[in-house]
Amino acid sequence: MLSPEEISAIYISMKVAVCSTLLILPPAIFISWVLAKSSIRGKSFIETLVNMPLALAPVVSGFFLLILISRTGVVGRILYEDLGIELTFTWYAAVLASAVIAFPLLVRVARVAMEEVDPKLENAARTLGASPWRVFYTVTLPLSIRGVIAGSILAFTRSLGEFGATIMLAGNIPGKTQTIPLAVFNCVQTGHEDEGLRLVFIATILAFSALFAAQSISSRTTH
Amino acid sequence: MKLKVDIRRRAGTFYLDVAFSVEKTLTAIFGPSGSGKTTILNCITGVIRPCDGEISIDGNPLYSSRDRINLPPENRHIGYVFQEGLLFPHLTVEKNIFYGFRQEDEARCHIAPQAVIDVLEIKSLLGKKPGRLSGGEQQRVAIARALLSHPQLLIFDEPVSALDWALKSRFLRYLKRIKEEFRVPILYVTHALSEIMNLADEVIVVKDGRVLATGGVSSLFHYPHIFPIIESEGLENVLTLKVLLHNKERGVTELELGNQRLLVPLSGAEIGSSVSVIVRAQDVIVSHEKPRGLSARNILEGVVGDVSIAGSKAVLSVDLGGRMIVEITPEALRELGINVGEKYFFIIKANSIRVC
Amino acid sequence: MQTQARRLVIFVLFLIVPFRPTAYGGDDEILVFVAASLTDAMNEIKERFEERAGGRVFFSFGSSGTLCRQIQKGAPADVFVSASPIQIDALELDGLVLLDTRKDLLTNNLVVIVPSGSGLRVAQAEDLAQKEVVKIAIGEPDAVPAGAYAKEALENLGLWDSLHPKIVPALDVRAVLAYVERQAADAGIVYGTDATISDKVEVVYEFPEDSHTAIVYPAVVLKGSKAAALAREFVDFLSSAEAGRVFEAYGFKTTGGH
Repeated sequence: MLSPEEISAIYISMKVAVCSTLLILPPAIFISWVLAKSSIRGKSFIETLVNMPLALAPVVSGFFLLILISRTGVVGRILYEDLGIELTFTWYAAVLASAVIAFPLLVRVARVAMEEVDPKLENAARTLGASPWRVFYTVTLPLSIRGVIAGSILAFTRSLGEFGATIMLAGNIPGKTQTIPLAVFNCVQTGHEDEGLRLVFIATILAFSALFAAQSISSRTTH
Repeated sequence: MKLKVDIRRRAGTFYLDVAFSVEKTLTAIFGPSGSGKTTILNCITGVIRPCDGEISIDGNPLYSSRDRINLPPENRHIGYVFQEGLLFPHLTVEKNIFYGFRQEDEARCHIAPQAVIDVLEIKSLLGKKPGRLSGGEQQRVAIARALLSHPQLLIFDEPVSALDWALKSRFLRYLKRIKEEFRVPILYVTHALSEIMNLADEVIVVKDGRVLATGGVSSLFHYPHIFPIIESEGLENVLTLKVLLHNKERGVTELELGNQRLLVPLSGAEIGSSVSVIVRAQDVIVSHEKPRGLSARNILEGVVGDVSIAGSKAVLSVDLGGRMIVEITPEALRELGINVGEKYFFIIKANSIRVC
Repeated sequence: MQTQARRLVIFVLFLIVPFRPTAYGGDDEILVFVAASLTDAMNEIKERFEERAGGRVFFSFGSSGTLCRQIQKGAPADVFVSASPIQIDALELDGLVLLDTRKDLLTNNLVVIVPSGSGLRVAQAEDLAQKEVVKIAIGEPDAVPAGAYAKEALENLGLWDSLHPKIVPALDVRAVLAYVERQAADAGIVYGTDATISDKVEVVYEFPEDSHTAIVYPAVVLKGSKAAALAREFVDFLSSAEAGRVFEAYGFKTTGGH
């Protein structure tokens, strides 16, 4: 029913979307907490930095990432020459591209959720002997988990649709980095529109399923 | 335990400058809204920081601007019961109360979980989530939670101002039991003196960020500037008394007031249980001799402990077997020639007593 | 809830293919950057090559301009097949190619297309000036090879200045086709092979060969290649007679090698 190329694109898209969402969860939760609850200086600087990918076209973000981590790039050079690792044009690069693009989305949603947790509840926890870390994972995080989940869904679906940064950093390599959006683009470019439409349909179903699954998780955590 | 507080803090136009120490079992901080009570509490618990000064318990500094010490709240071991309860909504009652509990502290502090659960009567609530509890139940759980963190000091921040009188008096009964059973020093903050009149061993009066007076409850009435604060409340006596018997023909219930009996309208309370009664200070009549042929059901004997006059009120602090504040006119005071230490008779109509 | 989350994470981690430190491991795999217009032909050629030569070929498809930029920024490509010599010239200047491997594989012609059944007649290039032709779509000349050739042809025929106001630049060839399909443009200029992608357009004119520099699709092996031997073999195969037959089946014209 589905051609091997289509199955490959679906598999790669899922793999990349899941991995990039998981990858950004810990740092995004941390940054959200810093922005929501801490009183350090330079918060607006951090916030601007986090939001940069939102302001730039994904192709541009992807281009900057390419400059950074290719063989000749500042970071890429170290990876390549000292560790023998080359990330560009692999599915890891696709994960990185999606992660960077989706990161600000997750932070926005998670941060708002954390801000809504009553600081008095957190103070109450501290008077009961909880260190700031314990307050975070026993009070702040559980009470903002719905926001974190909602943000993760957003990040996941954004990753499913990621194109510009992916094609720049990971290339359009069927079987390795050709995700559904890239495959659809290819189909349209070469006139195979029926196949393209089929893939779009499948992508829509995937996004719906992700949303549905996440809805049932978040409704089970209601209190 | 001795808590010493000597701090100053500026916030906008509000300047707090207080110094006091807390040594008694139950100390009340009393003052009108906006007087700085909550700020003081937040400084003691470590949630906010004074501009300078010192806070210490038994000589151990919690905060010292001179030595640059500022212990974070989690290291101060001060239990706090908030006005809004502030139970963790995502945890069951059981998880809530054991949140601050550590096994090793129990040996040090002698507050056993089972005792706390029994005294506060929350056993049936343990599996529920806070959202399903009533206001009064939430308060009791909040107290249990604070107690089980084995605090060296327990602070109540206006815990009942949002509750109605029935719940208020119930709470005060629990407070009495806690005070007696657990021997944790209590700091109780309120703007209603009647709440702690019969429970507080010492009162600190605070207004506009300053301490106005400290002393026993009855001694407070010596400070003339206290009156404006108290007056707005309307002086009420709240007593917790035991039910002795019900007399259906006479339509009265007898309560134990020291060696005397207080008669109140017939209630359904169980014999042997404690009830709260409210008597307004102005509803008590004073007499030199024991009157006869009166319609009032209560004619009680008592000794005047303190007398104060301010403006149009004369306030007597009287010991009837329980402490009561009585309000008469200064003219009546002069006419009757009332003196401290002497015995008089106090008349209260049964119907003017509220029972809950 | 915590154990559920942990289980989910472990499950997902198990799905991940074991980490491979190098992108294209070993000398039996090559990454070939290919101009998107050659997709179908190259896929067929790849199958045949892998059968006879062993080794594996991975393609990355894109526009020649983008692929060139990526190579300049250090992309680990072994071979580059471009839709115009301009990009390969640039890479030569940057010293990124193995000069002796450069081969011109294919040629193409430049045509004018109109929506199918529109009835527009273009017997000669000057007919584009007719008032029925309001808009002419071409690829953005700075970025799309076909667009550059279109501009060159019109300039050489002395028509660029007069037709310039009618020109609508598009992001890529597929966009040009889309504009013409939907009659957002009345005519478009693309390669002859591009026109076959869509059945809603028809070719009405072919630019004479001397009106533009020869359209050539070169291929080259890149200097940074880790599998130069296999890469050279592949480029040689691309210019073989067998590959040539595949290209011709898709409408391209071969050069007969270089």
